[in-house]
Amino acid sequence: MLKKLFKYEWKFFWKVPATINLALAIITLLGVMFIISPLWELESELIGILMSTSLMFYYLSIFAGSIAVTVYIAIRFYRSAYTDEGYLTHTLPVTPRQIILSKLFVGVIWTFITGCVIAISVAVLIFTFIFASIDFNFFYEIGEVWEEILEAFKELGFHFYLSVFLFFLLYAAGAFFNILMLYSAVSLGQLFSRHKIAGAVIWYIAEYMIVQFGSSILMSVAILGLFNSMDAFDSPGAVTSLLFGGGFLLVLAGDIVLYCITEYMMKKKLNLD
Amino acid sequence: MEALAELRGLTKVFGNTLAVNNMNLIIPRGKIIGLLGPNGSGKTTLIKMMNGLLMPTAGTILINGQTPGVATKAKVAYLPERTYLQNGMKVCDIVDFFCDFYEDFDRERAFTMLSNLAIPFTAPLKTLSKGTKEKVQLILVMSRRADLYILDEPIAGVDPAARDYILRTIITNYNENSSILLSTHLITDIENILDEVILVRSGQILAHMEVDQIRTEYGQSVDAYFRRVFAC
Amino acid sequence: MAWNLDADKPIYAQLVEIIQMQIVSGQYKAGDRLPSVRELAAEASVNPNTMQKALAELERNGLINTQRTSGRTVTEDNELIRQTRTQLADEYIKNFFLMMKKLGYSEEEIISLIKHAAEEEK
Repeated sequence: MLKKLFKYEWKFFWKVPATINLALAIITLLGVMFIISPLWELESELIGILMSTSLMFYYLSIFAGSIAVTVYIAIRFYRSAYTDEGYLTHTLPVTPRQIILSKLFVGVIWTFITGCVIAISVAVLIFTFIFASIDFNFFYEIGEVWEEILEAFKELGFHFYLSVFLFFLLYAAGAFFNILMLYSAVSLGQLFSRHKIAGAVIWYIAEYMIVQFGSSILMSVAILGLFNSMDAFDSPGAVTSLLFGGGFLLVLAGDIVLYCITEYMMKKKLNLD
Repeated sequence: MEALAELRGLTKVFGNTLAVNNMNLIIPRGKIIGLLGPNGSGKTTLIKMMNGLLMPTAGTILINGQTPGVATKAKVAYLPERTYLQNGMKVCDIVDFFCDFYEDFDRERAFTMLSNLAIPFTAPLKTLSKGTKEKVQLILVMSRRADLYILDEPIAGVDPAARDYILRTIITNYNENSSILLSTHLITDIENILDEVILVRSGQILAHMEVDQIRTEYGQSVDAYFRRVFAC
Repeated sequence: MAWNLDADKPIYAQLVEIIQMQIVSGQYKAGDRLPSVRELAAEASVNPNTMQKALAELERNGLINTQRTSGRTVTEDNELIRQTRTQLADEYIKNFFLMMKKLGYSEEEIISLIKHAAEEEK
């Protein structure tokens, strides 16, 4: 059943985020064309202004794009679980767990896709810029110095691939965390007999504040702790790994808590009216 | 054979209002049962609890001996008074959807009914009128070979011709092991197809009797009896 | 087309009457097979259990037989059908006289009115 739910969730879901990502791709393409255009040859003050406004526009559209995908994930969850559509969703012979997980996976996948599109977009623009303005041999040199960079990391005690892996884990748990924060806020908000959306927003803000507060306290404790016991670590690399690894475990714990809230609300407190 | 559904001490409180007040009810197999009562008498609340869309404040619901959950949802075909279809889908998509999730769904039957009511298979749902959407939902529900059909106001929004077709569909589609519980306030139209009626007022069951029993005892149609009982 | 049913009498009793009428009037002839309960119920727009009850009543009267293989058939006993017919006619006449007397007509007046009406029918 989870598979079927996932299949249909994907089918209902993909159009909006795909359109957003397509728009981001088009904006990237425009950016590339702008960078390689001969406009730069013109020596005019206007170019500087044009440059900064387009950079601003690019930054805003990436920001808006990723926010839009996130908001759509929340809307889609709210609509299919707690509005009229919920009458169908909750009378299918499936468990709340299957409902939540199917939506969660689709949401996380689209968050990854959007993240990748944004990363690629930024990379493409930077490389185009390098290509167009600095040095064509850049990539050759990158290839040559790559080994040296890895070597340098190693000397600092960084295990490059391990760090990347840990960072990725942290990022993945964070993506789940963001979506589960939305899901749990929506599920708590539906308890209100009226103004369910407002309820969800209030819960979200509350959760956000708790998370900010909690993480800043944890941060300071961690930094203080590290500062006092710096000698115990043999390298900056080990510290980074520890931070990434510890962060991952903390976020994972948060994922589980938020998931449990969401499932509990859907299982025991469903309140469709 | 055990009762199809049994409610014991079922109660639901919303804030300060008692929507359903200590209801006890047994729904036998093989019957068409009308759930009658004025607006706000707790019919829909009761139905939602039976479908697991609302959690009771107190009391139990057993359907085939089980509390509402995955197993009962596979055996109960529910028509809510809302439109739950997503506008982006086509009629045939939603048929596939039901076919995928409900093992008891009879695809042939759905397409026969759709063509009898002249509903185009490939029409996107957003192009259909409200009445047609209601028909589509009812067809989906009645195309299942469920144990219990729970229909909340199934005939309120459709035209008389479709109403007749729907009633005939209800009569011909259920078998002796399944029951239909249908809530309505348009009693005259359906009283001839009912075995039993349950009269509900202020969240309580006033009476649960056979239709012909009411007619024999009171010399009145259920409609007239209903009007007398609920006279303001 | 749903059958015409009165609101204040038990449904099954009315179904019995209507099917009796259908048999007596020759809509279903002696020995004819009847549609299934479900088909009849759908035709009449009534509950199948109620239709079942009506058919059971007719079986008790002997107007309908149930064969294991071929479902329900109308009795082949033409005498019984004739009797039923007379019985129904008697009832209608009795009712008619009752109503007319309520309207204040005497028996002679009623008969002459009937004669008059019959003349006009021609």
